[in-house]
Amino acid sequence: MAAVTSDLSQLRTAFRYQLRSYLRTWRFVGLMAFVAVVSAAILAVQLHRGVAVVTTNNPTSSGYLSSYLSFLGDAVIITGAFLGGDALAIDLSGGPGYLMLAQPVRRSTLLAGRFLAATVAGVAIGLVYYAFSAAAVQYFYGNVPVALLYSIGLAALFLVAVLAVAFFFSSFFRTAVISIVASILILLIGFPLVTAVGTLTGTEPWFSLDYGSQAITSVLNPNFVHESVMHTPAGRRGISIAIYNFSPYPWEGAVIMAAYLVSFLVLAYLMYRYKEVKG
Amino acid sequence: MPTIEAVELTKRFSSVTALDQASFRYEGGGAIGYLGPNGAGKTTTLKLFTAFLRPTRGSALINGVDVQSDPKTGLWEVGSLVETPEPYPSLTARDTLSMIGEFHGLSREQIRDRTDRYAQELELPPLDRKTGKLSKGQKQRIVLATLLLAEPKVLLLDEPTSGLDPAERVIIRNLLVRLKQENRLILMSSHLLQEVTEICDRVIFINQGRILLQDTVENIGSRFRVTRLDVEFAGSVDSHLLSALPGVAQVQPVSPTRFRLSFDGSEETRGAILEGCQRVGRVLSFSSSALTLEDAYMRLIQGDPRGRGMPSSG
Repeated sequence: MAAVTSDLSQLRTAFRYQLRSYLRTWRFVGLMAFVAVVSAAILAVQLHRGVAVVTTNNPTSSGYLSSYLSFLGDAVIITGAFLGGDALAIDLSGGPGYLMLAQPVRRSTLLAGRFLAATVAGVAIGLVYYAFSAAAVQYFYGNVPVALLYSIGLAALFLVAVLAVAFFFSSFFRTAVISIVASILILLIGFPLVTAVGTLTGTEPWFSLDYGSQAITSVLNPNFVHESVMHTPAGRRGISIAIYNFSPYPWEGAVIMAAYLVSFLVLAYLMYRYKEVKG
Repeated sequence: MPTIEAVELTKRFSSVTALDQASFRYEGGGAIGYLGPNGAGKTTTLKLFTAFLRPTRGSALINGVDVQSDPKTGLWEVGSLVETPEPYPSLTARDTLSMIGEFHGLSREQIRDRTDRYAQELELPPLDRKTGKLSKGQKQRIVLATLLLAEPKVLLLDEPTSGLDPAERVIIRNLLVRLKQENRLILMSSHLLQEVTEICDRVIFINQGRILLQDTVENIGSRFRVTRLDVEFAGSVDSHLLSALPGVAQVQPVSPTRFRLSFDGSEETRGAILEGCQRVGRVLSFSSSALTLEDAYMRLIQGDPRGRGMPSSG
């Protein structure tokens, strides 16, 4: 029997053709355009308001970036859900799976190649947002803070964690649309709800991916406070309610996101590896 | 030498037993027809051999390797066409062929040369078109080309000509005959008994998950006496003349030049009918093998005892 091709060589092949597949779809172009339009719109509004107003509202460049990037988390979630939502479901639903999974390639190799391709495509989209933010901060403040690099690193970590969750749903559901919708709902609504509950009950939501992702902006915030509580009067009898506010330390956010990355990627692999193709 | 072997292969879906202790072993080149009605367990068997499903019991071995425990090595020299495989819609036909070729460790030159060869032989559509924009038949030919690209020694085919037009069927049939002659081992399920007769040397009959009979097409003929014949004449023939031939019990016209004759099944009568037909008109063909399979198929499915206790030949 001829020697089988190495896993590494097959991983390169899986990566290259998956990336090519992404680049040829309107989905990728659409996501890129969506992020570019949102970034440009934010910049346009601020240019309209003028340098004086912007720098008065945000005295430091880091603080400005922190607020500029507040939409980035949602953009990463949408990007990750669309890139990862059908990555494995396409095989498990039949059709292309009957071609691909009959090849002498380990499913772990296919998964790794596709994950890397989704990461590269996602990072390319995310960098558009960062390019706009860097241009904006340079224009308004004349410098780009080094902390922006940390933020990019944390955003990349958030992207791969989101992709891991999307890959898991993609291996769980056999339909691409359902896995994309499930990913968006859980990431965009489910996790923020968990974080909000933590805020109301005074429990630091360290178990929420959404909470971990706040490190992307908190690393830029010059007035960073890990935990604060604000008492707000409620009713006429002098009763006040406490509203807690938690922000993750950058390392803490990184650990939360890394934990999600590892655990959901392992779950996605197990589902993809052992699921039968019956459709 | 290529081998495929099922060892008490069993698959249950909840309370339904789709495949029940199927065992067979085939070695060397040749084509095996896998016959049975819908739901008999044919596709389940092929899915177990390609690791799409996991067996409840038993094992599926290709070239001595259990495809479940080591699918990468087990499927290394295998080309399969199970259910309806499709290329990824956003890749072009050329990308699809290159990707599969690279997975199999082929060099760029090998991929290019073989792509050109199969583009001609299988009449592939334009290779730079996205496969999502191709017709079903075109996609199926692309998939077939990917299957052949690595020149696998074992081919597992699930109704390979299903959904194809007559011209496409001829292309595939000729290709399979050539592959068989090149010493490949082909296991193909089909409902088209004429096709199986033309391509396969051996057949396996399966029903309700159980293998009923496996033997060579020749032996099936002697085991199940032929009682029908297909005759084709060069020109139109009056069916009454055929009815009057000694030994002919019934005549069923298929076309003005083709007839299906029923008789008692003895060799003497068959010989007499051939002589009689030659007096009636110029005989172009006089065949019984497809009918043999059809008869055997129908009798086995209906529980003919001749299908039980037959030796498993490989």
